[in-house]
This record gives sequence, C-alpha cells and structure tokens, in this order.
Amino acid sequence: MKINKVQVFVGLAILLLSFLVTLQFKSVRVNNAQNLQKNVRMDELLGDLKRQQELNEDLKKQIDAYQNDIAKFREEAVQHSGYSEILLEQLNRAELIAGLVDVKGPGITITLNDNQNRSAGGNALNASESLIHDEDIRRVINELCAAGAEAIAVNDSRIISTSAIRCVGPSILINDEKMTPPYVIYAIGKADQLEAAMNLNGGVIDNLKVWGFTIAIEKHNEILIPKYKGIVNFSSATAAAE
Amino acid sequence: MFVVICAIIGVTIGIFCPFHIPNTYSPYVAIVILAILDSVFGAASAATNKTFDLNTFISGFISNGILAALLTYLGKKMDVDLYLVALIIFGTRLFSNFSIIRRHYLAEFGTKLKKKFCN
Repeated sequence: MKINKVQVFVGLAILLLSFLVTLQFKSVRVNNAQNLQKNVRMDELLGDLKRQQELNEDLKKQIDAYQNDIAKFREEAVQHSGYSEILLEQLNRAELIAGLVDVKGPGITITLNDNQNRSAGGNALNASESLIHDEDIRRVINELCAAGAEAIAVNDSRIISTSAIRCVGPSILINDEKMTPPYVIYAIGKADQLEAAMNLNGGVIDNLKVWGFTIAIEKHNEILIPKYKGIVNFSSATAAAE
Repeated sequence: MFVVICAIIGVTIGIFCPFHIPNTYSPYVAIVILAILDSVFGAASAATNKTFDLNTFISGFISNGILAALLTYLGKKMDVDLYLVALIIFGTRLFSNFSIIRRHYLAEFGTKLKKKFCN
C-alpha cells in the first residue's frame, strides 16, 4: 500500500474527526446521566421539604389548640377568685409587651420591594445589589424601634425580643418563616413620629433609595398587628433574685 | 484503506479516552466536529473533480475550526446563538459537496452502463 502526503493529512483529519465524534457521544451520555442524578436528588429534597411543611402545618394547629386551652383555663380562673383577676391583668400586660397578643392602633406601613429595573439579566453582583437584604430590613426595624414603635411585624410575622432576621439564599428568614418581596413592615406607634424618623434626611430610607428599591410609606389611623405565632421557650434564662 | 484504518484508530482512542468533555465545552466540540466534517467532504468533492489542493485543505481545516469555535464563544458571551451561523454554513456546504460527489459518480455509472449496452 502506497501512502502519499495527501493521504496522511486527510487520514489525520479523519482520525481527529472520529476521535472527537466518539468522545462527544460519550460526553453527552455521561453528562445526561449526571443531570438525571441531580434531578433525582432534587426530587428527593423537594419531597423532604413538602413533608416538613406538612409537619409544620400540623404543629401550628397544635399551638392554636393549646392556646385555646390556655384561654379557657384563664376564664375559669377569673370566675373563681379576685386575686386571680389581678394576676390576669398582669399577665395581659406582660403578653402585650412580649408580643403574644394581637394589637391594633395608629401607625405606619413601609413597603419595600426589590429594584425592578436591575433584577432582569445582569451579572451576579448586580443581581445581589438589586435585592433587599436582611440587613436592610434590620436597619428599618431598628430605626422604627428607636422612634418609639410599640409593635412591629414584617409580612404578618411579629417581631419580638428573640426574633431573628436572616438571609437564606434568595429569601429572608424572619422568625423561621420564609419571606419574599415585597416586604411590608407594620409598626404601631405615633404615626407622625415614625414617619418623620423614616424620612430623615440621610436616614435609613434615603440610604435604601440609593439602591433603587421601590419604597412606599403610608400612615394609617388603625392597623392590626398579629401576635407572635411561634413558641418561646426560655430554658437558660431564669429571673434573678433582687 | 488508510483512511478507514485512521477512522478505526480514532474511534478506539475515543472509546478508551479516560476523560469526557464537560457540558460547558460540548458545543465547541460539536462545532469543531462539523468544521472537520466539512473539510473532509470538501476534500472528497475536490478529489472527485481532481482539483484537490493540500494547502487549501490544511488551512481550511484549521482556520474553519478556529473561526467556528470563536463564533460559538462570542455567541455565548453576547447571549446570541452565533454558532447557528457556522452550523448552517457547514451544513449547506456538506450537502452541496455531497451532491457534487454523487453527481460525479452517477455520471460515471451512466457512461459505464452506456458502454455495456452499446457494445
């Protein structure tokens, strides 16, 4: 068999071609298999999540039932003696302060939404900059507290002394409840005072507006803030004797 | 014959190659495959017309592959499927080259038949 220069080069081209085709076939098969595995894992996790959510719902129902029981016991106790009436009054006041009862009164609502213009496309840094972060909400709440807000809630989740506001991926976790924008912050207090504190020149809202967030502040004569829905367990702290 | 041996060697290397191409780079390989396929078909059609030139083949083989891969990269960065350009051009040329080869052999076959029946 005589081999000339032309045959060598065409042969090399064919060699490369067949090599790449085989490699590509193999790669596509391997990659598809990997994607399938990822999907299976995702399905598993979704199933877990759903089960946990159902469990959560059940537990919430249980809390409601227990609270009903407490209310009944309380009524019974009041009917029995005058001393328990005083205790009840104290309990009511403590619950109001602790955020364990629904409250209503004058106040303001602050609606925060992500920067709508920048959320489409762009790189990861831009996407992060256009989102409202846990820190932003913490700052607003901090300012509201300083301005004399008596009760604060974010999207129906009551902020109490042990409330944590954390960032989990694309959403914000408040009192272990996942929140997505828009975030509506309710605050009961002297409405004018709260509004003025929010609108301070160079204040918290001014700082947030720099990022292009959609922010709306509204005053209301009466807003309702729900009670804290979770469970507060103090296992380490006990009252120190005076 | 030599070409067939080369093809078999290529497939063998491909099968026993210990690594695979990650998802990100498979479009590039696909487009380079098409570029080589185009070159090979171009060579075949040129050979049938007796106009084959080795330098044209080698330069076309290399530069077409690079240009196609570059277009794919550019397309990815600009979020436009630019590799489609290379895909369509290579595909069209593949078929036109194939038809040249087909016509050539069809004509050859035709003259052979004529000779047989005329004699």
